[in-house]
Amino acid sequence: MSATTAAVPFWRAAGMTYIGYSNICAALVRNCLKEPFKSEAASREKVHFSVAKWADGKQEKPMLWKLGDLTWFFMLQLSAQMMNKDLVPW
Amino acid sequence: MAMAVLRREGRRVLLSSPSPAAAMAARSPAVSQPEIAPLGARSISTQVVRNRMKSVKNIQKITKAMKMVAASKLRAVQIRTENSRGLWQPFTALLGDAPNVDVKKNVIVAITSDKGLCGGINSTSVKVSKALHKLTSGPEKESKYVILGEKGKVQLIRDSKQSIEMTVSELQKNPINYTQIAVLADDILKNVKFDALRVVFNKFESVISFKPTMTTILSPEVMEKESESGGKVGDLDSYEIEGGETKSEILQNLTEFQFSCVLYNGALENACSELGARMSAMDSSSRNAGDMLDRLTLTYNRTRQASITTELIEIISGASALEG
Repeated sequence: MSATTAAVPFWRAAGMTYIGYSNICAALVRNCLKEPFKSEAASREKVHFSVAKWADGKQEKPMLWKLGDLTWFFMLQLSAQMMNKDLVPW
Repeated sequence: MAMAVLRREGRRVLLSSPSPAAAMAARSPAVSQPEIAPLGARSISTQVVRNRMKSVKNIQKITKAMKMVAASKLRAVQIRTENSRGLWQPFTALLGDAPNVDVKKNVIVAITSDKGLCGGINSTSVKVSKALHKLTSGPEKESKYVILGEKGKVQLIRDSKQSIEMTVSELQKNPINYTQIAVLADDILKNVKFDALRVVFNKFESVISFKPTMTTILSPEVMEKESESGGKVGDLDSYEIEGGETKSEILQNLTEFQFSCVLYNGALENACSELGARMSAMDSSSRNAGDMLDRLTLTYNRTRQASITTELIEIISGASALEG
């Protein structure tokens, strides 16, 4: 419990939401599973949808989200956001 | 019918008078306008009816298959939907639902399906969203749409183009899972500014009954204001909070998690309703196709019998004329 509370200001400052943070944690936990549970859990983290933003009543180019391994995606996203905000500890 | 009479007349003319001009004049309508029956056929063709029967039979096969597919998918989704209800119930118990909250920036998250042929669930969703839009927009207030699903988008583009903020589709390529919805919720939270999110979906009651439902999620700031003014949200103070987080931090985390849970449940409920609605829609359309097929068969047989009877009468009367 104390570890999570201590981490809050950091991911919040990096521009992450609670959902993104908990998703990373969930993906890490899933990665710790043994087979056959691991591949079973992997089927529950398939992400596929396309998002299009709208401006002035016109649709912009849709973006397709298609992810298999979530952990690395979120890690990348996090590190990119941290670098943007000069939050990289290393 | 008039054409057939005309042609028979024409043929008689052709037989009786060998004049080529008269024959041309008599035959011309038959040449210029192709008839259903081949030239020289004695009775009305049943070909058209036969083709129609074949196509109706094929359509019936398709609708029956769609019904089966929907029914088998429904079972799995229904279990997941019922389980997912446990996700938002604690939130409602803790924070309550505030459908009548009056805020400046409303975002309506309308959940619809990507595919059609599922009765009226998409138009119900859209209708409720539109009513909500009317209710929440006004002077100094703003109301925007975030649309999940292709069908809702198509319907809302027609008159509310300007209010669309974001559309999402292809959500149901894989079976809906929490991770997927969480990534989507994350994306919505980051890109859409709101004081209150209103998630609209069809709640699955049974295979034939879906209730349009709205859940309100407040932004942390509004939530804090609400909790200060008391009410259900004010009960949060009676909980002991572990760790060094402030109340606003906790509220922010909670509302974000609440949104992803509500969206997950909403997407599942709507998917479940879609399958249920498709099942009953396909059931009734198979039944309609069956009725239509019965009627067509009756017409077809009656015409066939009538032409056979006519032929028999012609042969018999011809024979008796020869004898007599």
